[in-house]
Amino acid sequence: MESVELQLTNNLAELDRLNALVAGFGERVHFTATEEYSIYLIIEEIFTNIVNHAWSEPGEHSIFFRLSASNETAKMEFHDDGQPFDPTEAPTPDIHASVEDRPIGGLGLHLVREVASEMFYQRLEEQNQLIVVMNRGQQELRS
Amino acid sequence: MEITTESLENGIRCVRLDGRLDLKGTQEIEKEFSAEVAEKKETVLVDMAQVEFIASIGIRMFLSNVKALKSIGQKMILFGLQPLVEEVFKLSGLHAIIPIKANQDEAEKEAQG
Repeated sequence: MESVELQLTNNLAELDRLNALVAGFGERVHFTATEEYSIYLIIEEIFTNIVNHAWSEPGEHSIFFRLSASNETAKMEFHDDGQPFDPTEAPTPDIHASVEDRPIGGLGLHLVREVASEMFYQRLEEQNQLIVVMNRGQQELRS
Repeated sequence: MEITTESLENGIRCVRLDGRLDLKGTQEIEKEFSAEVAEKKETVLVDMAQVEFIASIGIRMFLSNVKALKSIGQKMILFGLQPLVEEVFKLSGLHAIIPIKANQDEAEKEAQG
């Protein structure tokens, strides 16, 4: 199991560093194009969600990220000290509603749940700790 | 992220996108995209062949513009999607809302039909 990690701030510009980390790590562990797409997608949706919703007051916070991979799975971990939020319990949007009724938001977590094979959440020591697992070797994004 | 547009015959407008529709790329082009789409009363084709990635922010850009077009009785048709990008449209349920065609010829036929 190889892994890389980053200590980030709650700033959306950090997505550049995250994407660069994935690209470098992906060469080391030979992610396929599909695997890399899934990982970029999961990271963007989860990280954006944390930055936009975890804290109600402005101010700098740190977010911990770790990406690890074996031959079978890739695992992404996110830790933040924002308000308690369990993405595995968040409501799912109705993706079959007509164009007039479709909400503009709510899609990000829906996509993560479609792509991830497993998600684990725990609130520990005033922190949200989320683990998203993706099975490797798939031809499609959907798990 | 780059955006170019051209007017085809029969009141059809073609918008070509090139790059990644992640947070950064979508923010770079969404104003211009909305201006091209919603303020011109023409059917809009979107060439997606050079779009290699889309996240929920990009999907939301299409959804809000399709809503605007539909309210004025116009439509948007996408074509040339790369397979993984098309899968994100399917997982989002947007393939039921926006017609997706293999290439420009089929998209133009759909626009006129």
